[in-house]
Amino acid sequence: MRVFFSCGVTSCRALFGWVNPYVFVPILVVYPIAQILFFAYLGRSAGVESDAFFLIGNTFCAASVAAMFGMGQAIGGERRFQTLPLLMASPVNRLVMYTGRALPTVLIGFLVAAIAFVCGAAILDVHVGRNEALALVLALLASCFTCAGLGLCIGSLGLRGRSVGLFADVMAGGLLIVSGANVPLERLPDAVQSLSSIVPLTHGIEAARSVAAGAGLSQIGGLLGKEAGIGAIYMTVGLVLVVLFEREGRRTGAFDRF
Amino acid sequence: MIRVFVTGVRLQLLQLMRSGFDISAMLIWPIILASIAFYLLDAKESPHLLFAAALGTAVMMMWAQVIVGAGGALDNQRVFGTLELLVAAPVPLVSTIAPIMIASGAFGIYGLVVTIVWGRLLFGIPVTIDDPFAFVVALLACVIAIGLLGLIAASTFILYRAAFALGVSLQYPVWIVTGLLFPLSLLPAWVGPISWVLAPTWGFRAIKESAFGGSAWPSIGMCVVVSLAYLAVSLVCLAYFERLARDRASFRLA
Amino acid sequence: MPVIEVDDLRRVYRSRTSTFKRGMKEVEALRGVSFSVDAGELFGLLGPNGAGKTTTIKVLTTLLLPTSGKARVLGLDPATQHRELRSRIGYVFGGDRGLYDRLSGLDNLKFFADVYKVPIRDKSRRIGELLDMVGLRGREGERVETYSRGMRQRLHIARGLLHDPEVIFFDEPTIGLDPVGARELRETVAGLRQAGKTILLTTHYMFEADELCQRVAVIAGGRIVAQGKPSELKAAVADRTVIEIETYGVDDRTLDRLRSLDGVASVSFETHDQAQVVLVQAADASLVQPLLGLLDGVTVGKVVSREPTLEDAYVELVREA
Repeated sequence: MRVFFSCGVTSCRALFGWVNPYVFVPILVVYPIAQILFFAYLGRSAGVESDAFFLIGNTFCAASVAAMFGMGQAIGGERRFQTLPLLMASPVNRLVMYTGRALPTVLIGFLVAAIAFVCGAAILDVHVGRNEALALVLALLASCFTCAGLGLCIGSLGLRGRSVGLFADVMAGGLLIVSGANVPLERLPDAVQSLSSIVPLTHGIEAARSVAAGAGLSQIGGLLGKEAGIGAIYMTVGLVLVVLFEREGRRTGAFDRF
Repeated sequence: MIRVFVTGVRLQLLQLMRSGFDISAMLIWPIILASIAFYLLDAKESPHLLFAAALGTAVMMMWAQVIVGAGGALDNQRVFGTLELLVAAPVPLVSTIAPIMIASGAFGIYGLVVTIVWGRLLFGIPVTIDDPFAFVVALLACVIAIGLLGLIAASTFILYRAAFALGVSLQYPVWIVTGLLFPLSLLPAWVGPISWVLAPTWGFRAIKESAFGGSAWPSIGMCVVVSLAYLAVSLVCLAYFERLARDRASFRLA
Repeated sequence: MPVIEVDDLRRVYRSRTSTFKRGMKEVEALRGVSFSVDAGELFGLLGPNGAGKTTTIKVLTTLLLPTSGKARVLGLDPATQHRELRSRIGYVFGGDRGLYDRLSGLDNLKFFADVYKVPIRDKSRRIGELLDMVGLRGREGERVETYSRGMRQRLHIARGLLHDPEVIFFDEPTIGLDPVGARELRETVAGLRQAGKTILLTTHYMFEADELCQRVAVIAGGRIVAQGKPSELKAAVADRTVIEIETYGVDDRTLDRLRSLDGVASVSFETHDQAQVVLVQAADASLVQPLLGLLDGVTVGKVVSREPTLEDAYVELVREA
């Protein structure tokens, strides 16, 4: 427990320069709100869907950026500060350590999305009732969890000396389209639609849009379950990759390379 | 100074082309943004609109490359340890920093090629340019104007604690108010005057007009006008920055 | 007429004590530094970390404005006449930074040649000459990120000399270099002096100052504590004997007792692993027995008495400051 929370808090403070307001406000407040507005206006121009469609889609994307980059940074940042060899030499339980780091990334992702959603809804004049709020919160949390799992997979590449930022950037961009955040899934090619069913956000976004259209919590349970299930798979894969790459790193001396 | 400028642009482009991150980003992001635009605007069944969207996406990428680069321009020089060498050099600081910004904008031409090829191959978008000469001139004018707007950003952002963050946050807002993917008529009236002072507005118009017919020269002229204004403001800002840095021993000049 | 003149130079740094609390902290980095350097001289500014060496160089190379006092380089004021001065001085600092890693050595030199307004007709020739001088011919096409530290430092020197400056400022140029690389660099610096350049070199390596410099100023705590030829500084402690006593577990009270002994000029100590070496500067070696007597109860190892070096003079001067 102690390791779980100390890893979480420490990773927050040591590696999350984003909690610094000079970074947090521009990147995690202004940027997501502007993104929401941009795609909402693009949708209006094209006469496709509604403002709520783009508001929800891009809110979830904002959460994904914070969660993925945060988790990627939780390992990639160790390489940058050259504390990676020290961590790898320690007896700490890897499962506990990395899931402990996942916790603040999920919470920060949620916070970022919540702020973006409230501001975006106010500007675009989209209304969300109290009954819908709980369902939206659950959908968002499930999606943040999935993104943290994908972030862990990306971050594990950091153990192999790869540039974590590049992968996280590509993933964040890809999710803008593949998750259906900005383009209705039926407009995408079949191959992309198949891919969308296994990437983060897709089911969470669909659940949130259903709620906005009047569905109740019981009706979106299946979608939430799918999203959380995919998240669990990504987390598991990420942990396996971390263990594998750590073993490989001990063999090849990758931890000291930067 | 022209020699320094040309060398600076060449070397900055060289550095960008050797950066896996920048090359990948300029490959992936134009494809993603252009694809979103194509899928949404496809509903309007206007091939011209899709080609305009391709051009708009390219200008978006020029701006993104410049403004994100602006956030880090002076800071990167400080991290490299070359900022003090540039300040201590006999040429004005503007002649060494401006090339960095303009090269970043020029790197966006690679994004233009990507969006046009992608649009042509996957969406069958017709690529026809009415006045090729004006198109090339418009492209150059757009790159320079956006680069010089980025120069103002570079010389002021350095005074903010997290310059990179400011650069990142200004991508979408400028894309919105300069009408690159949707008309300004969708936005409140007060956005209009803001768009007139921003380089992407005129750069995009010039490129579009040269591609679709209509005279691009007034818009190219406006690119020149705003470029001169940006240069004048940048000179003041950089002089202030240099004075501040020498006085307060900040930015690791000391 | 001196090429570099510094008169009562002062520099105060102000910084906030924390992000949220009001309150400024002031650090006086230079507290009235004065010295001069003649044409063709190799002058050393010697001092420990934080003494004010780099601050002095930054003022003279136009990168920093002084709080008060005067400085002139080649008759120009670095604070107000910086534009005229910059094309006539060169600045080389030690360490890994100051070059564009993704570019080749040649591209770096070409860029800085343009920045320093080297005439186009001379550019290629000058770059070639400097590559030969620093021994990088044949490696100039490789990216700087592949260079060793020694190669980077040599490229730095080439960069600093592109525009053939009259005065060159070296700020700890051998820091982080291996002994062979450092020696080669010192040979290069000595060669530049022989070519008639005026050089100001900062270092915290005493032997380097002793070997290279015609005159040295010792700076500590933002003040010049001694100036003169290396032989003159050594002479200040020449009449002394240095007694080195290896001890285990000596405390401050014991050191004070040693200091109070007649004939002892100074006592300092260094720590090596678990042992301490007490360095006593005394009138002569006859004080060894009385010193050992005062160390009763302390475990004592090796005892050596020797003649003082420039390092001892330096340590003494810095300690007094």
